[in-house]
Amino acid sequence: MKGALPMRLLALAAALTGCGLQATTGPTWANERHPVALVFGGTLQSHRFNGPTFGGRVGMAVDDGLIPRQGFVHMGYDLRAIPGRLVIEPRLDLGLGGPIARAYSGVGAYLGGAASGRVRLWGVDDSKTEFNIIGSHLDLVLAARGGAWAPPEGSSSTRLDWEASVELGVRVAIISDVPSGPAGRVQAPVTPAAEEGGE
Amino acid sequence: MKPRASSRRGRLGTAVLLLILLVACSARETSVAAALHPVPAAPGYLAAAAVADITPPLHLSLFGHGPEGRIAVGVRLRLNCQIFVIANAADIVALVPCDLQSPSMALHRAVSRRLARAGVPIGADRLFIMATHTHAAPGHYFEARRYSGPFSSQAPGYDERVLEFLAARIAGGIGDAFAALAPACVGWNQTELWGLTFNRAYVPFLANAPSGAEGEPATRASRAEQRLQAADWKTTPSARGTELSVVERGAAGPKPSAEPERVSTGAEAAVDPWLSVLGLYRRADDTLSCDGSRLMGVLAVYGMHPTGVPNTNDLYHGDIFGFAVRVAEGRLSSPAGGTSLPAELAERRKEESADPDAEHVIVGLANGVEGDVSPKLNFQSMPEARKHGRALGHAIATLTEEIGGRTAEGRLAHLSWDLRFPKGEYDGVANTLCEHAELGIAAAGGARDGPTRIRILPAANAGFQPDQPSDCHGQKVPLRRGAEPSRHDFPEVAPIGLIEVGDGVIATVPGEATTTTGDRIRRAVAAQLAGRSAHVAVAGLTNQYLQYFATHEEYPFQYYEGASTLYGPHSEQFLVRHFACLAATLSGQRNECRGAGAINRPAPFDPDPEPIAKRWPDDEDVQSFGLDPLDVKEEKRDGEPGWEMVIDALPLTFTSDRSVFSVAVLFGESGEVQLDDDRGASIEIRELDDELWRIRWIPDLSPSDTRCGGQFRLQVGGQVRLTSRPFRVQCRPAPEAPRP
Repeated sequence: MKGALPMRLLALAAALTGCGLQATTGPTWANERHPVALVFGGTLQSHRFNGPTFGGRVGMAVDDGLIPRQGFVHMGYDLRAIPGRLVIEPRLDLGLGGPIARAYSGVGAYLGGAASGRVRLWGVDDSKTEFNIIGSHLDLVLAARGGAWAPPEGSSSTRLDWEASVELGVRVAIISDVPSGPAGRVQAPVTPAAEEGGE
Repeated sequence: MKPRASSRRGRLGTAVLLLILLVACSARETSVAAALHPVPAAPGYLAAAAVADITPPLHLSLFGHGPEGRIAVGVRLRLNCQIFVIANAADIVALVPCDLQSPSMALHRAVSRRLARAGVPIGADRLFIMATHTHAAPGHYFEARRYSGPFSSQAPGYDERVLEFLAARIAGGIGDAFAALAPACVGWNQTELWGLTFNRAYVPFLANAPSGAEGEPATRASRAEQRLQAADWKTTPSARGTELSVVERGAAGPKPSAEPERVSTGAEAAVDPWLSVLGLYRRADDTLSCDGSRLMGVLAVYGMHPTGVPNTNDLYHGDIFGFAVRVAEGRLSSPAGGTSLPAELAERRKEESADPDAEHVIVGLANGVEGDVSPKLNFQSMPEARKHGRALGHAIATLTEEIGGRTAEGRLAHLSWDLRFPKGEYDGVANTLCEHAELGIAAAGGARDGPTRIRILPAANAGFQPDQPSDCHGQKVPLRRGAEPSRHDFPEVAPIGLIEVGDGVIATVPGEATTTTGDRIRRAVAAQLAGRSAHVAVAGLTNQYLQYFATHEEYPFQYYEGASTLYGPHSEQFLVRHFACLAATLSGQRNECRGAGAINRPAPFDPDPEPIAKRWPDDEDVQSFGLDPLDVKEEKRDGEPGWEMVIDALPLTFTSDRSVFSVAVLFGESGEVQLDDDRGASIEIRELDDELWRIRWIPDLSPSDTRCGGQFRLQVGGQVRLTSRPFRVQCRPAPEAPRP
């Protein structure tokens, strides 16, 4: 009975903030094949301000029964091109696994770059001056990626496998202004007396 | 053919039935209004006073400290509403100060519905529920969703049963008072009372440029600052029975007391000092003479945010005002105390409270202009609240005793005006308030005397200025939970009122007015009623709760008060303008305010509270039984000595019904005389855990107290009957007892 629900919510808000869950799909160009990939991922992103992002995602080919074929971690930077409407996120990808269209006999490595644009469909408008203890938003995501897979050690081929994709999907993010609210500061107000030198 | 005719009749019957059901179901509320009882026909005023005990069961949330609001696990002072019904041939009103944090329209209308069902002719426009603003009363009865939302307390939610409990008790009390209406006289008195309070938001207050008007708070604060700098204070004798400087009406300004620590600073002068009392007297006979009339009730109005106890409190109590009314009732009631008490003890008891079983004067204390006015305490604690309440109670009693003219006939009028705040026009040239109410993040940080842990967020601190102000709400940073504001978040409609009794007027505000807002309301009303009303008292927190009304100069600072001004920076102008219009109506002049609803016609009310939660504890059936006597031991807690015993836990609902659970203190070798009970100011009941409750007697002992050395017992009555073993009160300093 003596639970402190508000404080728990506050802690939860702080812990979950900027946690975006994303699902995208689209064609992948890998060597001669171009299967359709389905990618699920999560990203920690800053809310309301431009800032670094960090996350991971798992890719699979739709034709292969949705078996995860590749995993990535990514580091990027959110640029608010149109605050509250459009965010551009360039990022660097490091991956493990193999190309979406070719099975390695071991675990390959990936290095690549990507960029995505996110258009706010619904939810908190982070351009407005308000303080959301907790909230959420839904973004339409258009992402492009390109990079190369290095086959596993001991493979018969040492040829790099180039891979690129264009994906369309959505990102649902839980946000909070608890870690970083709207810009401003606690200012010492200027009183009439102070203006007159009375204080 | 017959079957066909029968079928047609059947269809017709079905259609009629469906129509009846449709009409019945489409009605927002079904109420069976009884024929209204007439007001007794008698010349002059009729009046009556009553008390409604609204102490609820344990385990409801305490409302007022936002997310810091604890769950009640005990009762320190029982919560009451004092009810004053005043009538004459022209009108009838019920003035009802209550130990609540704030009223809600849901509660106001629920009481009104019950009165209609009982045939009491006091409609919603004649009913004025005025909260004292204790932060130690339950929540769960607000139709506004944000008042029941996750950050409203530690166990949020709206519970219809809490609402109906409060409504039933209040309506019952009003019904009792209506039935007891008797020929009466009324009398006013008013004085300035300094030294109990200070302005807690002094920096924004200083933004209110003084206009130079006599008695204006800003002017007074400026003078106080000058006096302090010049150190030219003079001394005045303290008021009888108080440690306060009570200044005669009409005095030019505050006169600091002799004691240096009580010297009036600018912040202490930046308050509304007016203490007003309306005395109700029972006439000796049916003639219009007030000779021999006896005091039966006092409605006092004084502005103080009465949080004498910190927000870690987990007991029900009326805080400073709860103590004050008990002290005032004790002093004003006659005969002294319990009739069977020895004279010395009876006199001593009068210092704390009246004997509720004897005929006594009922004192109600409505809160006045208190939005930015804190009690001047050394620190927040129950003993400090008690001390402050004692001083205020004595001041009320003194002022009541000095009421000069009483009158058996005179004016009685009420105006109640439900104002719609969204987009409300505030200046007569089509400038409007914000469309949606918003609470600023600084409000979640709590006021100076009730800070919350949310102040770890920089934006939740007073004075946070966003780089980018919002269009309508200016420097306020709206506090949200990821959703756009809903019209159900905060009240959109709230009533203002004027109640004229004799040569005094009470202006009622549906929230908390800061000092300057209150002063502007008073001046606006007084200007319209010049030559008609000698007293204008401003009472806040009446009938609805729109939080604060900071002035448009104070608002941009975004202190707690500005952040809690819901409809934007111009809310105060909207309020003052409509008070001027309402006062113009009262004085028979033209009402310049257009666009608002009709006066004395309550607006439609369509509540949709959320989240719904079951907070009312389950009823438990306990058979009556007696227990063996228990030992009572002395224990010092919170700086106060007390005598306590621990009993087995009782059902949580027991605290709401004194017929099943009550506590008394008995005096004498055989415990034959009742000294006090849990309706007074000295008994605390606390749930220790699921299995144990603690009963504690906390007499307000003075060094030469007549109770020292006496023999006492604690007694539990109701379903459980228990009398403790006798114990003696030793007033010499007792050795510090080990704590359990």
